[in-house]
Amino acid sequence: MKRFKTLLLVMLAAALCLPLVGAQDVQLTDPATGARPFEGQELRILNTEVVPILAYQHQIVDPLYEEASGVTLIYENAAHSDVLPRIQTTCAAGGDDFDIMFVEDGWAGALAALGCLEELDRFYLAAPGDSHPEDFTTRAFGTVAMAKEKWVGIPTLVAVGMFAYRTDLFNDPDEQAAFMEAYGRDLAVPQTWGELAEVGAFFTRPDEDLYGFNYRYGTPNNILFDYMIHFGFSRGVDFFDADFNPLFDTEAAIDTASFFAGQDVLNLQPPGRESFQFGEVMQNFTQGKVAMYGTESWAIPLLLDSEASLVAENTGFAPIPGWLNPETGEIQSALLSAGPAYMINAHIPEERKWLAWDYLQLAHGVEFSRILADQTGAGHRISVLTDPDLVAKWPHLTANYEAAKVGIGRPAEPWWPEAENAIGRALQEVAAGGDAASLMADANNDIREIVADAGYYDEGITYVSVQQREEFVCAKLADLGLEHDECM
Amino acid sequence: MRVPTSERALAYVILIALAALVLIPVLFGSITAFKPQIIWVSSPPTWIFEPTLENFEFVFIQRKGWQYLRNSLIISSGSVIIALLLGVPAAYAFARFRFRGSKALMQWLISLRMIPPIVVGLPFYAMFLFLERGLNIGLRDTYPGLIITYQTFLLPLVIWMMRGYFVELPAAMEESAMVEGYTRLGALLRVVLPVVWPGIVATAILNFIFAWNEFFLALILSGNRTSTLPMSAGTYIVRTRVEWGNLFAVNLIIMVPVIVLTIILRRQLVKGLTFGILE
Amino acid sequence: MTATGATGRADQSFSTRLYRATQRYKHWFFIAPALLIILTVVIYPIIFSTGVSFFRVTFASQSRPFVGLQNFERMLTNDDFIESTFNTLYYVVFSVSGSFALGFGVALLIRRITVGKDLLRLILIIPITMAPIVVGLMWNWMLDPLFGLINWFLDLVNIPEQTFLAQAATARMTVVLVDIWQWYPLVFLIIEAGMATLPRAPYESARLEGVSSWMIFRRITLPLLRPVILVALLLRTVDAFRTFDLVRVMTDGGPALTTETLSLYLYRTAFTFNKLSRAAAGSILMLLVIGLISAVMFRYLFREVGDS
Repeated sequence: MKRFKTLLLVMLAAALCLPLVGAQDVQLTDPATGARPFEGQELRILNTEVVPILAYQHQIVDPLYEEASGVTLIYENAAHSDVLPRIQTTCAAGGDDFDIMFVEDGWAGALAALGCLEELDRFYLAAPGDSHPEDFTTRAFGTVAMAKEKWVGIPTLVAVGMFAYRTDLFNDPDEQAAFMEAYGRDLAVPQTWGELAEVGAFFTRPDEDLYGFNYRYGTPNNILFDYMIHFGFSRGVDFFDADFNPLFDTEAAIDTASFFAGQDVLNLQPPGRESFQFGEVMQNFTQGKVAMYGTESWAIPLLLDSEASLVAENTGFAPIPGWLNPETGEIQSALLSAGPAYMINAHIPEERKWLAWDYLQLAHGVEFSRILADQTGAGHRISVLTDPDLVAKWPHLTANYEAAKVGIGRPAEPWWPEAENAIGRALQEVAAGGDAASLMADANNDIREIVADAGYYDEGITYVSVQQREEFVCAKLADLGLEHDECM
Repeated sequence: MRVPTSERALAYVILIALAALVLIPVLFGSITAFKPQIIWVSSPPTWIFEPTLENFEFVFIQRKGWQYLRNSLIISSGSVIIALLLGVPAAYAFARFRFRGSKALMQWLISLRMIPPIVVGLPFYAMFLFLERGLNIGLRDTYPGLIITYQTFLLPLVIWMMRGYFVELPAAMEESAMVEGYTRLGALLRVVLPVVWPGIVATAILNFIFAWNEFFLALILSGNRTSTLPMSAGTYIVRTRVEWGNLFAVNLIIMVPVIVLTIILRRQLVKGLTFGILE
Repeated sequence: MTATGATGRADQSFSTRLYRATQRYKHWFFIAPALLIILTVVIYPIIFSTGVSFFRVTFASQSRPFVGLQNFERMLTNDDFIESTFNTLYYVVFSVSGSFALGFGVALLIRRITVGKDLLRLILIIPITMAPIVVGLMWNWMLDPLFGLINWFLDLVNIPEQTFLAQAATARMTVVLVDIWQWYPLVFLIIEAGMATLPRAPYESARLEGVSSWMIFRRITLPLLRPVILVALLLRTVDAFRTFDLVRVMTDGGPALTTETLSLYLYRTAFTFNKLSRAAAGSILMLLVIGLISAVMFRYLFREVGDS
């Protein structure tokens, strides 16, 4: 114990001297040289194994890090819905319960303002290790790893919208013939909303317990997510205009709502859809009850796992359908991206922050990400998504990469969850048969009030648009002396 | 008490119907704990399958279920014992002595149970942090810390429930005991407590259940050393789906100790020593 | 002076004055330890929250300006707060009356049977031994239109699948029924133990006088049980007011706010919307509402055997 304290003191002193001595003096764990500067220490991580990819990281990457560094990782594994209250309480009181925490893209803005996210620049500048922040698409990095202009995290997962479908149904000659007869064209994975509705209607056969497709309408957050991911953005709906006025009462937004939450589309989905959340939708697909399913990239490993899905052998992936612009004849499509990053608790002692950085740069660095992707097909770094060997093994990585480049992040503002709730409620009421125009207009007004209440109009605080976020990323990378193709 | 046969038959019919309403969903869920992942859910339901223990293995060993179980056992029984030791005498005083403000105090006590747990979390966390940094008393992520905080909802309940049982008894009971030379405390321990024993047992069981299933305070104030079973149950509702097999495996671990406790105490629960109207 | 010392010597007429003093305040020796703990662990958070409710404290800012009653005003003018208050009252009325009637009924019925009593009691108690989130999920699954047992049964008798939780008209009552399912054993346990401790004498004399069993129930059992009934009712009321886990996993307040309870809404306000002090203000308003209701229950039920 005493030795431990001395060690800590020495490290503290070393850490304090850092700005003076310069970068080359900071040592990180390095499997190549066998350096283990943090050997014997413990690192506490607040985590949630909310999707399989995060569990794989725990099972594959973390033992590798422990072996390379001699550090013991101590996990506090909470349910996804419980992680945020845990972090908020700890942060608000200045607690040091954990060194590293799991932070979803929507939470970082508020937590940074609360003062509990450590900025990573100085660690990188002193000892970059294997962290390579330029190895992410700017869209993904801006959404997942940044809080406004601050760099606070290393992404552990980048989720993008994906579309899963049943290859056995689409390749069945009988189905193809029947579809040709009914619609006069070939049966194909839909590329537009119109096609989605048609193909969905074709496969909707309640007598056979088969339905066209499946989305999540069950919570305000979920219904909004799918409305915006899969439909709104492609139709040109945005969250806010340049003057920060909410745009949910525009003609495009109302049209989208009446389509997505309208009875025609709802009726192509299994009964109970108004209350479906992630679980039910996934369950319906893996049990072979639906032909198509709007999902996200993190679901892929589970959908391909024959122990988890009855249709694992017959699951194909495609981009989410877009909107056929009647004026230009083009198919417009857009995707929303989201995901968590690991971030360092600002309230821990300086020497622990270096240990935390050591874990982030190595366990979630380039080399270990490659190992993870190779074994599980989960990847979010450019180097992984574009690696020919990995792509050959896991073809969906290419679609992931394309999506990660264009994915649009949700606003990461402290008031956003409340706004999300207001608009999601309105959409649920549309799904229950309410009038889209008036409900969306009301929700739009609510959002204006929520934003005003947060002081955004009169206190001169500005909202960070998607484009601005990319500019922030490029500026940050330039600060760090890095170049990025997308910033040219 | 003599019960007519028709009345008894009706009682059986109703009770058995209720028991079925309890057992069917619980058994339907619980057998999932023994199913392999691919048939956790199926349509139509799978009734015949080869049972597996892989869910228990995952929950118990990989996810350290036994640690959660140990923490839950220590915290729940500890907090119930403390609550009974403090609460039973107080309840007795409320039941037996009329003093100014006693009614107001009782009403105020039950209102303490109404505090939404979310209100309690942050103040406690802040207090624990203050005690730790200012006075070097570590309560965060410790058993005593949680046992003390659990008194917020256990102690008012113990006082309320036990008071109800004490009030039922005629005051003449202890009075005659005191005439025979017992002190007030002696009368309470030797004469009154044996009679209200079923009440104490019921109170203990219910409080154990509340402590056992407490969730929010445990989330905020425990860490990896003291996390409890309900917190681990939440981790099987993942983003993608509910891991039914794992969830019901945890649920069995949650249910069984309480059921065992009830079996052990079942005789006590209805044993009205001297005054029972039935036996 | 310790509690045991004072009461222990009281009988020996140690000193008349001291005796009177200790007799007068002897209740405090029993109450003081519990009260001390309660004061530290219960009052402190209430004071803390009351304090917080006058400032603007959020999980998204380090500044905490004083805002007076603004948080209360915002809560009271918030449609969602009002709506979830009414939802909560609905839960309280139906869940409390339902679980009380069922629990009391079971307590009465189970005294009428002999064989299998212990087993039945054990089975009937199972619902409260389960974690609320598991109960909620289990019933979600039972009610699932495609995979649930209920719709499987309905299918066997050719009734189309029902989507109880997806329709605003049925979702709320469905959640209430599940809540009753989980909590009636609590009433049952409290009442049954209460019956077990009832004095025997009044029954014997009543039976000697040939009073009917219904009159015995009305004139003896019910009045004697009143304190225990009060406990069961109050406990259920308070807990129904706090319904949280069950709703969160079953419907998460949906469809479109029809099942949102106050505690769910306050939780959302604090942790999802980041507005801690507004949630604190809402909690205090909620405390006032429950306080009012329990005061009414007190007035009508808080009369004891000895009172008249």
